[in-house]
Amino acid sequence: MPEIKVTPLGAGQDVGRSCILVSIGGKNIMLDCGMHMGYNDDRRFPDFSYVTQNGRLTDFLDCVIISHFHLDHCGALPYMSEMVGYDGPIYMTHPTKAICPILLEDFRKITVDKKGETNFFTSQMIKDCMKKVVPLNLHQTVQVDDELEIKAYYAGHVLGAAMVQIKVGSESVVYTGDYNMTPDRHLGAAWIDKCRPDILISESTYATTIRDSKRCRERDFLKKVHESIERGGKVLIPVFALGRAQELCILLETFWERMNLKAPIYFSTGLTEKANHYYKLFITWTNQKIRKTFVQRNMFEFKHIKAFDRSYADNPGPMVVFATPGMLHAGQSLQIFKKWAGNEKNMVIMPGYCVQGTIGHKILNGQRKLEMEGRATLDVKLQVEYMSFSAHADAKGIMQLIRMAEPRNMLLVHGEAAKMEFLKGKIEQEFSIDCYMPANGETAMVTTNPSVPVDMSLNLLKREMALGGPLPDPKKPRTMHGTLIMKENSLKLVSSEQALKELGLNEHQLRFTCRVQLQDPHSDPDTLHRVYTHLKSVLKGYTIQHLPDGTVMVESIVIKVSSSAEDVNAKVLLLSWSYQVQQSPVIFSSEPFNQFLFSSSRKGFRHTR
Amino acid sequence: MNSVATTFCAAKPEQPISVSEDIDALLEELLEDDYSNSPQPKTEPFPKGPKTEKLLWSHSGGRKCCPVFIGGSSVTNGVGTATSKRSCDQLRCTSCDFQVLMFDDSEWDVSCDYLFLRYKDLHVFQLENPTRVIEWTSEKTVCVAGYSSPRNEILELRLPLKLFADENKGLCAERDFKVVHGGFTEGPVRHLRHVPGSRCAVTNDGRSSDLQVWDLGGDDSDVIRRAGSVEGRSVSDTGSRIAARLSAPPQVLHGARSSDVQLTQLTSGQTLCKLDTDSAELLSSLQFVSDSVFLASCCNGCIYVADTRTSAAPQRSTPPPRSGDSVCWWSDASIASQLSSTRIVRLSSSGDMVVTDLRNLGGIVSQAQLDVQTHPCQLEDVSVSWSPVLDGCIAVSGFDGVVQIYNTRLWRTELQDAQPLFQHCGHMVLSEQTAGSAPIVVTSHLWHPERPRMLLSAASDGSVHVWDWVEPETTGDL
Repeated sequence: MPEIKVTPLGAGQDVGRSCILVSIGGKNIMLDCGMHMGYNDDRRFPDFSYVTQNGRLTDFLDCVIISHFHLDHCGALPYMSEMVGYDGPIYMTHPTKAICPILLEDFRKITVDKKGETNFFTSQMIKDCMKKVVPLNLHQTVQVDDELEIKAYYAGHVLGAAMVQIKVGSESVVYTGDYNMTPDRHLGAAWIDKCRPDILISESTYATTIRDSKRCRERDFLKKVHESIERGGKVLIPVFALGRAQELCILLETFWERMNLKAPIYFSTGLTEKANHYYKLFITWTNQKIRKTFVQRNMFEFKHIKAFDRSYADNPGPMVVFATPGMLHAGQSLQIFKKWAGNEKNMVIMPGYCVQGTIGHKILNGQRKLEMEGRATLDVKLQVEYMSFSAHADAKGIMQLIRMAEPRNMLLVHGEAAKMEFLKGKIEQEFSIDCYMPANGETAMVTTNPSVPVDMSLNLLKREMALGGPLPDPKKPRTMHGTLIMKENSLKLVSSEQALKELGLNEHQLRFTCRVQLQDPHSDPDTLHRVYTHLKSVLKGYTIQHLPDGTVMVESIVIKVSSSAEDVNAKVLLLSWSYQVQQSPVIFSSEPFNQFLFSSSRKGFRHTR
Repeated sequence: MNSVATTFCAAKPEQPISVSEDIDALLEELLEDDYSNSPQPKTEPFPKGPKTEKLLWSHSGGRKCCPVFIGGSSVTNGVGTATSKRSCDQLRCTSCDFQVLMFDDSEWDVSCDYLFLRYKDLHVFQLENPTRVIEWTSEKTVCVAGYSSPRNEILELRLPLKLFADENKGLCAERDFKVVHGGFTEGPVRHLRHVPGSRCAVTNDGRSSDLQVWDLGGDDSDVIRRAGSVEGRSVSDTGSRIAARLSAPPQVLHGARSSDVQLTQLTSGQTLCKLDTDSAELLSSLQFVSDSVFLASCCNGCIYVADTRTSAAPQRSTPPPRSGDSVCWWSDASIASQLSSTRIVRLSSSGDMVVTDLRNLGGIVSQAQLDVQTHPCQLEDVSVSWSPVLDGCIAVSGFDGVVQIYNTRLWRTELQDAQPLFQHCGHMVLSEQTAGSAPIVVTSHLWHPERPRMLLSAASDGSVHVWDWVEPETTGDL
């Protein structure tokens, strides 16, 4: 039976470094190629040796698909393509293609220039890697080769995030990447049509979470910012260039407008500013409301939010600054943090996760004294707030997506397996489908049942109809006889005569023979005649002929008599019938008949004795 | 809407008391835009006047209200005294000292959640299916379960960690419910009790007196499994009430009518004791008030007090006066260190609330007529409970979409109208249900055992709120 194999190299029962191998219809696809932000060693990248131990990546993979630009989904891409070696196509959406290299370069700078790591990919490698990228549009079916096609669907989550459908023949797999089933201020909700894939591979980050309403969340954020501004404090919001930063910008911008607040809001230069340009550029990827109002007013054309200059940090009075990077490990956000940390009126709001070892991680753990370079210590007096704004589907969202796509099997990645047994049960019970959660390096196998189209000759069909009565009942299987010819990727069913003709073969006939020994003193022709008269009396209703060439025919069965050389009384009855599948009544070729013939012949003799 | 709220509302349009309102109004506006697709905000923005303007107010020379009355614009304003009851017109905000303004014949529409400003914490969740039960299973986890007819889920949820962070609250970003354990039930869950000191919960489907026993699961698994069942003594269409106490091996007290109340050991199924009574009154609740003393409260208002250690006949109290045939009663006993100080509250479907002493169930300590809608409501929905921390405070829900908190210490032995100390209207206000569908009813509420003002409440639309309210400052010191 054909099967689809799914092997996570990263993100199997784990969060971070998403990388999943899918084998479908003889094609191998890599879904995402992410890095783990929490590690500096080998565990940072997916374990490509799973593939490379048997040869090169390019030979093995038909294509690589990147779902969105977050580094845990694309961070290992230059490493894979340039250092491990892959020359095939890499598919991603237009926004992802535009933003991904910026983030990779930013991350490279931090790792190599700031932390001084060697053995990391270079700027040139990022550029070379991006040359292999083929952009995707939403709902556009892209033919990777003659058999493999992919199609992207909107996933919400971040700008350009996509779910992909991978299809080979009638088999298909959908990979969600990270997605969000509830629309937010700048992005819409994920959507997919009822494509009934064989496997739906879904993330499950928030699968065991019931989320607090977005409203309460945002309200707390605005309240915190406003309280700090009111008391004359400065608010630092370290952000990743893209993603939730824009959501918070829109929120603050609207709030400022509404409350008529005068305190300035700044964007850190470079990255975030550039990112906002991308949002303007890819307006079609945002949500409906932004798209609709775009003509009158671009939501990303902020009135209150201005570009930041380094000197502004020392300005007196309250202000709000969005600065990168998000974990306070380097760059502008760290510089500003150092300046503001000593004042308890100030506040830093961490809107996302921080990796161990970063200043962000330290202050979130309540550390109030930080060791800086050059043995200096920094007293953290400012208020530290941690708020999570990430947009993932929760259990309800996952169920919603299953209802939308109606998959035949479900596979969960990007989450903890031990805590998801209940969810697995829930999916299996509610939808009567199997749910898999393979660990990294483990393979989930799903047997598919693809339909195989076969052409049938009209003659054969007509003959079958003539034989078996009216049209066959489509609900019941029916046996029919013909020859299946496989020729140039097509299958056809024809009658055996036509097959012989087409293939230029000779017809062979198969005959079965059987010898029965008898004791009879009569001559051979007499014995035959006795057999003939006996059969005639026993088998009424059958055609029995005594032919002049010394044979008796019962329908198509031939009976001959011969005697052995040693003993004239020992007669041998030769029975012979051809192999006939159709037309002849079954009884003639069946064993009971021969038994009958045999015993009745003997009985006949006993009778005459 | 209570009077405190009315005054707060009236203050809003001119001078913001707190920024919270503006945030909410903004969120509201953005929310409206999202759904109605109208580019124009429906509400006018706030007047943007200079914020420094502050009306000076001097107490000297001015007369003070004594006692202070507060009310809406329908009440005559002025200086209130014991003889002329006027609603105070010189209220000031206790946090910003701005004067409170009032507007005649105006009230907030329901979409305006001005109430936000009275919460220390408010978390709003949406379950897939509504629940009628919320029960603590540990300090930080609660159990909920669906009540739709064929299949349901039973979930153990961990409360947001942010709620429990005392120091550095800002450092805790975890504000979501976490499903720590979950399981499937074959029928609806109408009643659920966690057996203290165990990982065991007992449920009843409200259709028979049989109980279902559940193993809530340990750290190694996230699945709640059916662990057995206990057969009830009678066939009843209201289902069994359940009470549990700390005991090893686990035992539960259960029954649908006063005649079939029994204490059963869960592991062996052995009946340990029975309530010795002939009458078969429908029960509204069962409750342990101490290790061995329990109450069996009946729908007709009478209460049996029995002791599991003796086989003596239970003490039976008569229903409170004003009981008619059509009235239904619910009750709750306060948790007290000494049995003698245990108070019992009884609430009727017509809004009568009677507080009595456990030792003297006939006598009335205090009583009041509550401000509740007394349309015919389902027996299962109404719930009344004493605060485990705030002395004399009672939460009432199930009549409509609000949870009300009353302070019984303000009441006297004579019947009077009582105004709630606090109302949680969030289930109605924040509901996403469209107009025309059935009105939202609060199906359950639960006090936090230690945090004085923290409650959980669930409503018929599947919403679950966790709220820590701020007691409105008593205006007596004005």
